Amino acid sequence: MTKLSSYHPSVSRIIDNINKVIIGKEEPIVLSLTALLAGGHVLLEDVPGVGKTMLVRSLARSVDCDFKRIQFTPDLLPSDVTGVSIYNPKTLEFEFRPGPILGNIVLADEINRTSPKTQSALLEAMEEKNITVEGNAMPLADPFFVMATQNPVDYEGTYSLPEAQLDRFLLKLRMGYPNAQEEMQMLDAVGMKHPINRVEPVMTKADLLKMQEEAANVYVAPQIQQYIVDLAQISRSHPDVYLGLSPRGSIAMMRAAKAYAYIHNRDYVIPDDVQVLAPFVLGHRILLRSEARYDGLTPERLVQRLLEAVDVPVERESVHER
Amino acid sequence: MRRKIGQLQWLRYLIFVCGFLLFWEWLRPLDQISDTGNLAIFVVFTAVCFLLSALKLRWWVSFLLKFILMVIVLQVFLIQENLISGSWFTFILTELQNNLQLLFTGEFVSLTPFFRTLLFLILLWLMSYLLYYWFIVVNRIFFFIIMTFIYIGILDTFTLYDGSGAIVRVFLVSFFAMGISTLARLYQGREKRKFPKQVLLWSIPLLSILAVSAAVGYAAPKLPPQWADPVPFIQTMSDNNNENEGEGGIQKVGYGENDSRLGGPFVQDNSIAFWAATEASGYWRVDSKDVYTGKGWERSREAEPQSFQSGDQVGIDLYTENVATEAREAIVYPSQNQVLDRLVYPYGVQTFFSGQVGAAVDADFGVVETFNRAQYPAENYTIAFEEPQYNIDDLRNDSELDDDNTHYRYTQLPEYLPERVRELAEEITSSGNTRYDKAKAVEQYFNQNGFQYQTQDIPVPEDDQDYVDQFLFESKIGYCDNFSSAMVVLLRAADIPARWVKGFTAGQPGTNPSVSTPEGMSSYLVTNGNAHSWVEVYFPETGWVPFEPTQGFANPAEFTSEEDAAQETPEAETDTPEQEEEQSPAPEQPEQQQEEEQVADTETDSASIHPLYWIIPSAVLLIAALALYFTRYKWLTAYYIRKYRNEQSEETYEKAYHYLLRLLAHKGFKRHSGQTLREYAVTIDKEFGNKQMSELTNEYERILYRNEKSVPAWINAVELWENLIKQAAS
Repeated sequence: MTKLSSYHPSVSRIIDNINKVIIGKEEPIVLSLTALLAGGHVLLEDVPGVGKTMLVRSLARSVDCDFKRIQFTPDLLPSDVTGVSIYNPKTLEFEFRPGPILGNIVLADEINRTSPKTQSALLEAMEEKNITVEGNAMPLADPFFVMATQNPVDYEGTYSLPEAQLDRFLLKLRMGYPNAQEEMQMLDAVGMKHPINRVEPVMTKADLLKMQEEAANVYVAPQIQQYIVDLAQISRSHPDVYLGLSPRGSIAMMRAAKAYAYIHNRDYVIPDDVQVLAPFVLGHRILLRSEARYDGLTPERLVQRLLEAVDVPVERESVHER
Repeated sequence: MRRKIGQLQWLRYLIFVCGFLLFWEWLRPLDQISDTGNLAIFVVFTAVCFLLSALKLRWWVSFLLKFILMVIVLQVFLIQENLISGSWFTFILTELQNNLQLLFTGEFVSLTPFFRTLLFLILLWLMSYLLYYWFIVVNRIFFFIIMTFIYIGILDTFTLYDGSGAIVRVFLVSFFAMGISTLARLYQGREKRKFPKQVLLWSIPLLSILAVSAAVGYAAPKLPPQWADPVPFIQTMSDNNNENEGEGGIQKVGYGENDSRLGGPFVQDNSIAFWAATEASGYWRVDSKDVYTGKGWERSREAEPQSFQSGDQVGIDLYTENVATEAREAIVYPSQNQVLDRLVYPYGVQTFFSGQVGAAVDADFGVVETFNRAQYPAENYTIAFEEPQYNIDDLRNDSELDDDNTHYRYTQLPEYLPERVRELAEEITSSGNTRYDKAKAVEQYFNQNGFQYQTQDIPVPEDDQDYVDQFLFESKIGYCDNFSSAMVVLLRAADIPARWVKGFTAGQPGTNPSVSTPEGMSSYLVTNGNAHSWVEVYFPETGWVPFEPTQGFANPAEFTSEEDAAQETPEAETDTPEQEEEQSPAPEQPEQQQEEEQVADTETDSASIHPLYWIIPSAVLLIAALALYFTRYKWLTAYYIRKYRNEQSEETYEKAYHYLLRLLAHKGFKRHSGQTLREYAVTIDKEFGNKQMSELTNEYERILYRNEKSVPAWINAVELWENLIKQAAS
C-alpha cells in the first residue's frame, strides 16, 4: 500500500494501540478503521488464526465500544442473532434479551457456515440499521460496525454469500500471514500475558461518532466524483465483466474514499485514495465472466486494469472544460 | 550537476571542432562548382564565428565582433570607399536599397557582388549558430554528418568536383566525432572520478579502429560502381520522354544548322560538345545570320567558305582597330562523340593552329567549317585571338553613318512585320540618344515587362503569325532564340543594323579529365546544353558589338567606361550570372551549383529559376520551423519561467504545473494516464534525488481537489517550480 502522508492524530493513536496486540498488519487496521469511520462494514476473508478476532477486539477496546461476537454455526437461528423475548414468571411479562447484534462492534465469525436465513437476519440489520423483533422495530447501537469473517479454504457445508449480500460490505479484506520477523515478535509478546489486556481505550464513543461525522464531511471534488463514475462505467462495459459496479458501489467508493482521506489527515479526497481502496471496494462487487475466471483473471487484477484504463483527473474543472 | 557538465564540456568542444571541419568540407567545393573566389577568407570568417560561438561570450559582444569582422571582410574585398567616410555610408545605403529592391522584385540575377557576399557571410554566421546548437547544446551530430555525406556524394556525381579526398576526410572526422559524442552521452550525469581514464580507454580503441578502417578502406581494391552513372541515365530518360512527344517544333538544345523555323519547347542535352582551355572566358561564336523571315533566320546568300591553312589569318573581323584588345590564346578539345563540323572561336579570333584538321572560312558570316572532322574527331586546335574591350564612351560617341550596304543588309525585316512591333521599337528606343543607349534600352526591355525565361510550353508561330511578334506581345515566354531574335528585330525596326549570332556560352569551369590545362589557362566544359544565341549591333567605328538580351545571362564581353566604371564594369564582367542570394544553410551549395549548371546550360529559365527561388526561402522557413519545433522545450521553458515567475493569476499554478509535466514527459518521464500525480511525483523525486516534486504536487493537489485559491500557494511554490523546471530542462 502506498503510504499517503501521515495519519490523523486520533487515528494514529488507535493504530498504535492496536499495534500493541497485533504486530504489523497496518493495512487491514487502516482499512478496518476506514470502514468504521465511513459507517460501513467489513468482510474479512482469511484462514483461521491470523488474528481476525484479535483485530476486532482490540479495535473495539481502543474506541471504548462494546464488543459482541457471534459464532455462526449451521444450527444458529435468526433469534440467536437478534435476541429473543423470554417470559419472566416474577414480573409476569415477556422480557427482551438482546442478541449480540445490538452491540457496537460485532464480530460475525464464519458467516458462511450458517443458513441463509440467519445470514440475512444479520445482513438486513447491517443495511437497515435496526432490527424487528416480534413486531417491534429496535434501533441498533450507534456506532454499529460489523466485521464478518469467512474461511476461504474450507467450503464443506457452507452457504456462500450471494452477490447481493456481498454488496452490503463496504470493504472486503484479507489479513494475510505475518512475516517471519513479525511472527517472532508475536511469540515474544504472547510469552508473558495475553496482550489483549494491555489494550486500553484511547478515545470515547462520542469521539468516534464525531470522527465519523467529520469523515462524512470530507470534500470530494467534482473531478473525483467523475473519476469514480468513470471507473464504474468502464467496469460495466468491460468485456471480462459479467456484472459491473452497482450505483451503490459508486456511493460506497466515495464514502470509503472520504474516510480514507480523513484517516490520512486530509479534508479532501485525492485520486490516490480511490486507487488504494478500489481493490477492496470493487473486488467483491464485480462478477467476472466464467471464461475470464478460467483464464486466471481475479477481481483484484481486473480492478488494477480498470485503474490503468481510466484517466486520473489532473486538471481543474474550469480548465478541463476549455 | 554543473561540475559534471564542466567536465564534459571540453569533449563537446572537441566535437564542435569536428563540426567545423565538416562544415569546411561544405565550403571547399565552392570555388569549383561556382565562381566564389577568395574561399580562404570565408573559411577564416567561419572559423572565427565558430570560435566566438564556442567562447560563449555575452551575445552582444560576439555579435559586435562578428559584425566588425564582416565589415572588414566586405571593406577589404568589395568596397572602394574609405571606411566610415560619407561616401562609404552612401555606398552601403544605396547598395542595400538597390539590392533589396531587386530582391523583392525577384531579379536575383542582378544582385551585386557586394550584396551577395554580405548575404553569404550572414549565412555562414547563422550556420555557426546552428552547428553550435547541434553539436554542443543538444549533442546531436548525426543529421549533419549524413547531410555532409549526401552533399559530397551529390557534388561528386553531378558536378566536376572530385569528392574522393573529401569523403575520406569526412569519414574520419565524422566517425571520430560520433565516437566522442557517444562517450559524452554515456558519461552525462555519471560520476566524474574515473573520467579522464575513461576518455583514454575510449579514445585509443576509437582512434585505432578509425585508423585501421580508413587505411583498409583506402588501400583495399574498390569495385567499380554497381549502378551506372546516373547523369547520362537521367539525360537519356528525358530524351526518351521527348521522343515520345514526337511532335514537330521541338527544339533540341545543341548546335543546329537550320534556324528557319524557330519556336516550340526543347529538350536539354547535356552531352559534351568540347573542352576548352582559355586565357579569357567568353562566348564561343560559331555562326551569324542576317535574314529574318518572320519564322526564323536564314542567310541572304549561301555561305562560301574559303579554305585556309593552320596559322593563317582567318579574317573574321568583328571590330575595327579602334577597339582596345589583348592578345590571348585558347585550346579547344572537341568531344570524340560529338562531330561538330564547325570550329568554335572566341571574339577577336586571329588564327587557328591545328595539325590535321583542314578548314575553310566564310569571314562574312563568321562560319569556319572543317573538312575532315569525321576522320580526326578528337583533333584539338589552338586559337590565337585578340580579346576586345569595348569602350562605352566610344560606343556612345560612335557615328551613326553606316555604309549603305551594311545598313540595307542588316536592317532587313519581313514586309508583313506587324506594325505594333515597329511601334514598340519606337517607344523603347525613344529614350536613348545614341545607338548604344538605344541598343541598351532594348536589351534591358526584356528584363522587365513580364518576360520570363522558359523552355517548356513555348508556342510555335502559326502560319499567319510572326515569331517575334508572338513572343513580344502574346506568349512573353521563351529562351535565347526568342530573346535574341526579338532584340534584333526591334533594333532593325528602329533602324539600327543588327544581326543574330549563334554559338556557345563560356561553359562550366572544370578540370578536363584527359588533358592537363596549360599554365595560365582555365579549363571549361562546354556541353550541347551551352548552345546559345545572342545579338550583335553594328557600330560604324567600332564594329560588331555583342549584346545579351536573354534573361539570366550576362554579356561576357568586356566593356569599359571612365564615367560609370563602378556601375557598368562589374555587371559586364560577370561571366556567368551567379545568383547567390540568400540561401538556406544546408541546401545552399547544391542550389548554387544547380543554378550554375542551368545558367551555363543556356537554359537559365524563369520556369526553373523562379520555382527555385521559392524553394530556397521556403526551405529556409521549413528548416527554421523545424529547428523551432525541435527546440521548443528550450525556448518555451525560458519563456514560461519568465512568464510565470511574476504572474499571479488563479490559473498560473495549474498552467505552470502542467508545463512542468509536459517538459518531464518530453525528457522521458512520462506519466501514464492512470498514474496519480502523487505516484508520479515520487518517481520524479527518485530520479532527481530530492522531495521537490512531491512538495509541489501536494500543493497542487490542494488546489485541484480541494478548490483552494492558488495564488498564495503559487507565491510560495514558484521557487520550487523554477528549480524543478531547471533540473528537468538540464
